[in-house]
Amino acid sequence: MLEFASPMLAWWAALAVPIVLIYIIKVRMRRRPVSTLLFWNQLFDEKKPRAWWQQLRHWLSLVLQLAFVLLLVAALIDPLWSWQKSSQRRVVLILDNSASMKATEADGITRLQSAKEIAKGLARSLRPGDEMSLVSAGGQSVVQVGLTNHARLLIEGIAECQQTDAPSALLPAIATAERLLKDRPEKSEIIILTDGCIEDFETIRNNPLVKIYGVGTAQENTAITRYQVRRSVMDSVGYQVLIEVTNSGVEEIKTKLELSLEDSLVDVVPISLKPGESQTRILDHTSATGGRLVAKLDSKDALGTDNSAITILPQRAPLPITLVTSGSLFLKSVLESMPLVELSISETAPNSAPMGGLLVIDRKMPEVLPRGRVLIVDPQNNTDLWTVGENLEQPLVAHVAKDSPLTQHIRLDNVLFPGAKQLTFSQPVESLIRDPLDSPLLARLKRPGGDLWILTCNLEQSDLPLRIAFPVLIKNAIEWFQGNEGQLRPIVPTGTLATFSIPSQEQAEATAAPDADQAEATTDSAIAVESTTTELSRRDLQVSSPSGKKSSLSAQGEQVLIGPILECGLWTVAPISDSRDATGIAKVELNKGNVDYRWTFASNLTNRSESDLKPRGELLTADSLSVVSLGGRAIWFYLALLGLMLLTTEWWLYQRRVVG
Amino acid sequence: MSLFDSDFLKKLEYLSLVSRRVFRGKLLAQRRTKQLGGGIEFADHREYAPGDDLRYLDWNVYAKYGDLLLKRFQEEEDLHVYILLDASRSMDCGSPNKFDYARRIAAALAYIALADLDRVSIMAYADKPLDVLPLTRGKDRVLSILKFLENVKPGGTATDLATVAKSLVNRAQRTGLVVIISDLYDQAGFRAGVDLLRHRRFEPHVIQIHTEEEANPSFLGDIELDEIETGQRRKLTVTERKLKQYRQLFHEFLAAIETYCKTYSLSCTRSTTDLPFDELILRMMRASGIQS
Repeated sequence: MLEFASPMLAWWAALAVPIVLIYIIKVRMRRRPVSTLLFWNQLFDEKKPRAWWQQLRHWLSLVLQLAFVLLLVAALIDPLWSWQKSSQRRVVLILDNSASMKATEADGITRLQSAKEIAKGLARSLRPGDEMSLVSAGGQSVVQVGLTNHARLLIEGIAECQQTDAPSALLPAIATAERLLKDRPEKSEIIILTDGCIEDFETIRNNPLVKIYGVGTAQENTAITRYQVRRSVMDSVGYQVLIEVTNSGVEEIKTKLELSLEDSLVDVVPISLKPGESQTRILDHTSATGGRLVAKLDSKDALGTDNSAITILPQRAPLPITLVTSGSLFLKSVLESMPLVELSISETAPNSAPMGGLLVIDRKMPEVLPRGRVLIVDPQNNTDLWTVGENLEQPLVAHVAKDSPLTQHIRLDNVLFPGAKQLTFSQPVESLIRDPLDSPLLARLKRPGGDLWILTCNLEQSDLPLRIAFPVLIKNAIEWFQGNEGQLRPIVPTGTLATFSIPSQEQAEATAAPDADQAEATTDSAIAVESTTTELSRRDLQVSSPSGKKSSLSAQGEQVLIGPILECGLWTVAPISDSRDATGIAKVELNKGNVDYRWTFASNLTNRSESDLKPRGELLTADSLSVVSLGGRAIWFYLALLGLMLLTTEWWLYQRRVVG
Repeated sequence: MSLFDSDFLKKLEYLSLVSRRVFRGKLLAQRRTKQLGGGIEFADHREYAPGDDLRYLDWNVYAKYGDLLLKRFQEEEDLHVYILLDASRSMDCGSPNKFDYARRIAAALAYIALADLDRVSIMAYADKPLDVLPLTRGKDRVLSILKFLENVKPGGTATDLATVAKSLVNRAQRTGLVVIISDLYDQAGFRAGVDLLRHRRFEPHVIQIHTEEEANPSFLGDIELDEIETGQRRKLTVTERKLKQYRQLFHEFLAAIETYCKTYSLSCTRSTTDLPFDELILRMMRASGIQS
């Protein structure tokens, strides 16, 4: 039983009428004067066509033209067999645009390109009443095109579907597809075009709605599957690199791993890997400057994305410390021994701690403590924050806070702190080291202008400076004041979310002390600080991807989530007005009272599943998908094509000569 | 530009000089007629008849054989040149125009003949004589001949050389050279006419002119052909195959004319209108030189 999708378009058959009329009346012929018809008469009278088909030449032209019109009309009304009409489909096409689809096959075409071509053929085969949706599954599930019958829209959506460097997210994509199809699941199907390099393959295959069609073939691949860098806990300028390399192929490979910092080669490690083997290396190197640290495998395989990884080695900035003392050799020596410390010694206390650094005051305290981060050693007089009492009777260390970073790696059991005094603080403090009577020997005091670290102990009388705990204690204090910034900047694997903490005004102010004039102004108006923080938290930020694409986001709180991250490389978050180089290493710093939100992080694939370019199970072949889609085209297309061929034939036989 | 401008006249003079210097006694002029009479060049003998002038009796023959034979001498007379110019409408086409080309050739031949002290007559014809320039002599008559040719217009409804030849034969006082300048798109009439001239002891010389387009038409497809001579029209579908057949047919037509002329030892010159007329005359001169 034949039905027509657009029977109203049959009126185009009326085109046959002018064609017949033109044929009958013959278009006005060109007239050409000749000197004689003698030869033409001989030619046409003596050599008349004798074959029947020769006599029908012009009739054949008419027949061809009418057949063209017929086929054109047939294509327009789009005939359908009844079984076709009854089998209208609702298809959700899930296109796997994960990192493994970036692998290049032997013909030089990536798997995603092949999948796109198949998907386009499927979209073109849509019948009237059929509906199709396009969902991409690279890193996250994204509905590229909703359920529609518009083939061109689908084809454009397929063409615009971008390659990602993220792992496949097929399960979320299937969940999305099921939600799209839930109102009529009986004639619905989910078609996945993937290379099969997916986790949960069996779970997906057991879904009755799902058909998995494969693209690509199993290929050899070696990848960097773990990559992380951190500053050494032992050495201020040292850093450790953790690298794991995995051979997911079936052949043994020998390659080299090159490590370079800011395009300067740092290390080359030869690596030999058996099939399926992973090797982990920890490499120790030193650098105070930091920068882009790139690991690269010297191998050419199908997938290049996982052959390199990038991260940021935090820069170790010099720490300015001002020591106010009348001649404490112990303090001077221990501070000088600290790497990256720029020590300056003064006899009088300044109004504030140095910008981005520390102020260490030995014994003689000013009445009003300077703003900023301050280490107090052996306070001898009263200040605005405490009152100095008598010497403690038993200045023996009885309790050390184990969970505080200020007292980590320290053993001071039964150590005497001679000359320690009873301090009475005007506000709550955190006692880190206490005597048996719970009097604080080492305390931490929080204040808006910068935290204080207070040690009450006469260093000249105590054996504390001679103990290993003393430099550790000072180092802990310095690192605590510095914060964890610069220690570790974790790499964000593709497909995950990156978290960015917006530094509050309070944190920013704690990072460095303002100038004296500004300090007074800020102290006078606490409300002004609060309102500034509110203003900053609503600041518009811009995210720059490694390929240079920019997108904006509005930071409403202290935490900003970015992602899922779909691209390997360096990402930068910066205020929209920031025009600095996106690949530079950002530092959160305070500049004349303004918080800088610029933040850079690295993202790498580091995913074993994506780097293993072998399908996890048996996949349906794309050829069988073409059969389902009637060769990739609808019947009307073939009718139109046949009509075009007839038109070309007619032109070749009859009209071409007129043009000539 | 008029048909016979100063350049044309210069070329005529040049052609006249060339014909005298190079082909002395071999071209149209200075040919001897077959009129026998009181010349000095011996021609043949005839039997003596009573009343003949005894001064011409060949006494040597009589002495040797005893036969009374009278010596005859070729009489030196001017050559009569009759130019038959096809002025049918079929000549009025092409670029360059076929009729103009024919008139230039006629003018050139007439000039050369007059320069050689021959007598020239020109007859423009189609299905019948349209206009006639009587026999004339002397180089000073050149301008009148050019004026005559300039005034000739194509006309008539057909081409019939047989009728025109018959008219010429009846009208001509003496035999002579007959130069036919035509496209010859009238095969039956052409042959009958030339045959008649041959039989009446005229010396026909055929100059056939056609255009390149006539030899190799370039149009294709559905077309209506309009014969300018008769006004007849015909709708045709010209295919490449038909064009090929046409060229073959035209070639056969030319070959047939050539064969005919060779059969009766007639001079035949064929040219397309894109060949300069002076080049054609020189070619004719060379051909005459080779033949003689």
